[in-house]
Amino acid sequence: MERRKTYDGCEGPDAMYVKLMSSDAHEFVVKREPALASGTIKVMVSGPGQFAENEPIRSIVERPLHILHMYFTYKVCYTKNSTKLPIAPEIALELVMAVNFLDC
Amino acid sequence: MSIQAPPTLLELAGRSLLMDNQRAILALEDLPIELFPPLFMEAFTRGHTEVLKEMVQAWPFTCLPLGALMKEPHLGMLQVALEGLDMLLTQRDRPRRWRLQVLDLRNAHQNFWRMWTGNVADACSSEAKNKNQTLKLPTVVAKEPLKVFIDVCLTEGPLDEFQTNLYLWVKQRRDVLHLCCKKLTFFAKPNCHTRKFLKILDLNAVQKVEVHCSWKLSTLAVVAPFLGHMRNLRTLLLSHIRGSASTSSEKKERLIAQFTSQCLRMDCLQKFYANAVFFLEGHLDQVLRHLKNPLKTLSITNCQLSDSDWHYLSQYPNTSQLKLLDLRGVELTTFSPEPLRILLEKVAATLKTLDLEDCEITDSQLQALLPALSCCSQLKTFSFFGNHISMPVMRDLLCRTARLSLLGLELYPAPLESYDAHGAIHLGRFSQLCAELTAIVRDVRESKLLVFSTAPCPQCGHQLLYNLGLGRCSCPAPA
Repeated sequence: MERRKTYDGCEGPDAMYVKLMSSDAHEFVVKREPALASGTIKVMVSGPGQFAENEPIRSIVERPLHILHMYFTYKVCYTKNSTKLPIAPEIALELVMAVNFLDC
Repeated sequence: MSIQAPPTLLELAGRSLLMDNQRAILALEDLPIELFPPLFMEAFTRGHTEVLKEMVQAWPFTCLPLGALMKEPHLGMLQVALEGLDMLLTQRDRPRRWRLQVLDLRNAHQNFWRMWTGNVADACSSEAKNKNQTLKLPTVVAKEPLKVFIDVCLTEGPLDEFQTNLYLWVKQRRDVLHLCCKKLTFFAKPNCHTRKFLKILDLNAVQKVEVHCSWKLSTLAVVAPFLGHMRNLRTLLLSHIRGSASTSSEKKERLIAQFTSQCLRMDCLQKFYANAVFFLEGHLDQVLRHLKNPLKTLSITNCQLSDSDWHYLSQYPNTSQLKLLDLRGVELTTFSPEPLRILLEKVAATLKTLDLEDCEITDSQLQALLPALSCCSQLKTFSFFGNHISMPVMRDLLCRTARLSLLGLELYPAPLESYDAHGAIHLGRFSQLCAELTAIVRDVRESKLLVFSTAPCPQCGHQLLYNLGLGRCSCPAPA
């Protein structure tokens, strides 16, 4: 049985993590602070009643959300000599559209 | 982008998209319009010329402000943009997505690109989208010729490579586009190359012409027909138009008439600057009388004017709404102040800047002007350096400025009593007198910047400026 990790800190306004769910039901759990680089996510998680937790980001499928997840980590660890964030050209357009929606 | 700041995800995604030309070109069909500018900038920075050509064709705004992106003339980028335009122009039927009407090669509209630099997230935010009208797809009204905007500076010698490329390209397509220039600056006498360039310009678009070099009157006469076609000319600046001793007076009159006859066609002129233009003397009415609209700026500096010129100036109806009157270096000593008094009365409600620097105005002339001057309630800048005024009249002048509550910059000459019998400045007396005058001003109104200046040192040109803390020069006093 696949061990399933649980993340205790995804709920409530002070949660350390946020759970992102794509329109095709893939979940990503990311640290809250770097995720706030996305204006859309910031709106989603801030304030009561803005969005329900786990509200899927309806217009974004798994692939761009996966890149977004990697970007948050990339951004936190970025230095002058950082390795690049790999983005395959075939996903680039999809990602550009997603980033436009996500505001980051 | 600072060294420490990582690129945004949009920048990274854009770079990845641009790695495959074909994929990027296909993507333009579906790209939201707000993503065109950042992608264009990325393609420009990284030299993706094929994508850029397609983006020029697919540009979703009416104006592509390429000059602001280039900062300086960039021949390669120009060629890419012109090739993109050619692809548009060769299409028989206007494609649905064709929005571009203006290619702007001037260094203008920096805000358009600045909005997309480092703050793309803000630009793409829903709040920005709601506010920013450029994000709405412009309506294409009718098929209008494409326009290419450029600021033109004409110098000695042939056109540079950028200008030459543009000239050749435009010349072959004059029936389908207009080369427009809002500001035309001459740094040299026009030659055959620059005249060629002037012939392909849409002269109707020119709003400002500045001449920043010394021309003969005959040169002005040659350029005059071009000026006459500039039906939207708002500002004309002429500088150092000199006469020639060998020119007969008949020829001189003919050349002047060649210029003044074109003034008839300057329907929109609002600002006229003439610095050291010798032929104005005795001909001011010929230059001004045909202008249709009230002038906002009249600047006649370092010229000589005749009695008839002064009389005309006071009667000329199109000076009644002046905001700026500059008569710097026009010697008034031997003239009656009455015409200038009448003129100041006429413009009292509108005048914001008055420059009477180095006019050699005397006490009696200033006293005649004071009643009109004290009514110039909108005055913000008054420059009066270089005139010969005694302390009692200076006191009177400053008391009479009590109602000029908008005055922000005031430049006055050192009173005559500041100098000794040899004409040298007496430092102690200068300071004392200026302190007294400053106190007078501060008693009657607020003063933002109030400066008194001595005459320039005859040896080094240095001036002492009271209230700006500048010290005296070290030239020896005259014997």
